[in-house]
Amino acid sequence: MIPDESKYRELVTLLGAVRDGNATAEQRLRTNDLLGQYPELQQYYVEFMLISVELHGCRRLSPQEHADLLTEQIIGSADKSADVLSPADEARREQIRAKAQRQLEAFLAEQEALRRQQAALQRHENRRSFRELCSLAMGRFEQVGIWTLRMTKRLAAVTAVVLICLAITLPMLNRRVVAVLGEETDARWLHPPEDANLHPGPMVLEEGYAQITFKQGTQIILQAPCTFDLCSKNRMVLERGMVTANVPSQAHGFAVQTPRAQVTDFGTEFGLQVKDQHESEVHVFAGRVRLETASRARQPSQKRDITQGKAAVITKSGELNISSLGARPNLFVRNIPGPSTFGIPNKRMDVADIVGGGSGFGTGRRYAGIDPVTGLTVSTYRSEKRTGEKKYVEVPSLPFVDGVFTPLAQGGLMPISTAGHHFDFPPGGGDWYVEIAHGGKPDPQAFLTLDGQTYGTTDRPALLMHANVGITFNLDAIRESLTGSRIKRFTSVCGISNHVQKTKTPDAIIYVLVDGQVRFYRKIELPTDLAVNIRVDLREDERFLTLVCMAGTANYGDWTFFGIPALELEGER
Amino acid sequence: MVNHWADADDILQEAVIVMMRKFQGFDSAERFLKWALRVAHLEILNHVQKRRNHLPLFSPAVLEAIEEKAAREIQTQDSRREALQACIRKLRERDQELLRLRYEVEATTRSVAQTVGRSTDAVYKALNRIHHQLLMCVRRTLAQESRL
Repeated sequence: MIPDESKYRELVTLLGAVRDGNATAEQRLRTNDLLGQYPELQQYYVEFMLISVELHGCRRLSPQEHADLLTEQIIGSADKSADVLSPADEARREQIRAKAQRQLEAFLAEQEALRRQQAALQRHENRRSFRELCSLAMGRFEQVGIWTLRMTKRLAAVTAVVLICLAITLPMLNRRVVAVLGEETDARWLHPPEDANLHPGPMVLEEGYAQITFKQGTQIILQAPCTFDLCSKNRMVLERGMVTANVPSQAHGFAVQTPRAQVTDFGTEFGLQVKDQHESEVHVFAGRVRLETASRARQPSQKRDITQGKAAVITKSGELNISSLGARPNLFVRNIPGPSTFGIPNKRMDVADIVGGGSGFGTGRRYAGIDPVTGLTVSTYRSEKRTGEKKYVEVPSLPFVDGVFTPLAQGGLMPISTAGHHFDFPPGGGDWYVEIAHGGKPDPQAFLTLDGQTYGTTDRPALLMHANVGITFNLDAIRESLTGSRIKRFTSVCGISNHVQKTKTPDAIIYVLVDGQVRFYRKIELPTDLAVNIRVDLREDERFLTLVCMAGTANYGDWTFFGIPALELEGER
Repeated sequence: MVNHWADADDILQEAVIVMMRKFQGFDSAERFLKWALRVAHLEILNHVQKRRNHLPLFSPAVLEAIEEKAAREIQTQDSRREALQACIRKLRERDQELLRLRYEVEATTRSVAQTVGRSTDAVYKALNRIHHQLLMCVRRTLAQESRL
């Protein structure tokens, strides 16, 4: 297959990153893919690197300088790992250093002996007759000239080979154990680690959570999709994704480098998110971190300390904005979630968790809810008859929720999003009884149940929407928080909880609307209708998902809810 | 795992030192280079095998193909060097200056950008363009030489 011009252009960009030593994991994989597909590009790669080697090493070196350079490289590579070695390793390193030194000294001694031998021969020849001497000198001169030429050529070649070898092998030889892999929940890696010991190098967590403890003591929780690079026992690069770091006092100075900034810790707990467009967000839960933005054209580097309870955002354009944590209090997980948690990063988002003030991955509070008339959040829902109002209200404390409402008794056109979408509801019950809530336990003895299955638990969450209420989710805001994931569809099971005495005919209407258009509708009128499966595919350009549980005119006690409500996610490679 | 890195250290050092000690015994640079590249190739495969939990730059198949091409190309490295020097002289002065700054000891694209007062991205793109220009120029020069 012949590569077209665009492939060459792409390769040049990738090789620029390789040349500068800052190629990301994706760029490395892409480079390998391109070279694997097109032999012409392999040739281009070799020529590109040979030019780089020449440009790097265009200064001519003497044999002694070559030896010095190699000594420095060999011993230097051992020195780089010295800071993380145990006493046993330290002794081993010293042995290696001594051995390398001895071998190099032996080599240099051989060279010196050879030089002395030639000098002695020269002195011996000097005692011969002038004519003989002239003849021999000419021959020797020719010999030495050829030897020098060959030597120079070989040394130059050796330099090129060694530089290429070192350039390729040294990153792979970066073999220090800098961190240990701990607990994992639903973790799926691009290249699964063979064991718990982790070495410097790029890693990609495609799904779930993983906990890593750095050698110096910092413990981080990674949330997929996450592309990162472990650099040393107290430093990492986060190219994309979310981490929560807990830094003990002995690890002060733990640093995370992102494409636009560096976060340096001073003994604290903080969360860091790097989004697709390199926008970063830092939340400081305890202590203090220093945030330093990278300098850009016409924008010098900024350095700010972020203290406990504050959040900082570095925008795509490099601006630094600081606010309080209140806006998104539960964006980051503070403990690695248990294996039964419903929301799994890069797999599915728990919609009930969002209503509980969470990120969609188990950080929300159970039984917390939203008043559908005021838009205010409550820590625990309550059951009481209340009257609805003809208005759509925003929920400022929950960034993923656009707004809430209560359909009116007389029906009619209601606003259902801040973007001006409306929906014409039929007449219904009008009143509302319970806040829209994360989970629900109607009374201490009863769980929400459908077809004998219990909901409102960690592994089977429920979005309680006792009729008559509606809620609209802002899909764009959710997408913005999902680095590298795409929302595929909304899925759920819905119905009226079986715990309600079946003495009356159920009467409720369930709608799923997308940008104001009906995508799912079900009128529940018979007890046999109680459990309904919902599957609504969502396109990238669709912005608002509205869920409505509307009370009919009959008085039934419509404990309607959405069981295991999920936004199914798909990773973007 | 400690043994792994220690072994790797031994292997790297042995390989480089063996290269240094043995190259006198080769009667041609070409033979030495083939052998040296083979040693390097085996070392790379060995370490890729040991460190499967991280992403190597190349898969074994791509590495082998590159090694083969590198072995061939390095044989003409002297001519390539001369051609490169001539090609650098053909560059615009501004581009020559950019190269000089970039390949100074410990220079980075970012430090060059600060020196010349341009954005890092602009310098990065300019360096990529210059590398491509040089590569094509060296190709043309070597092709002309081989026709002579």
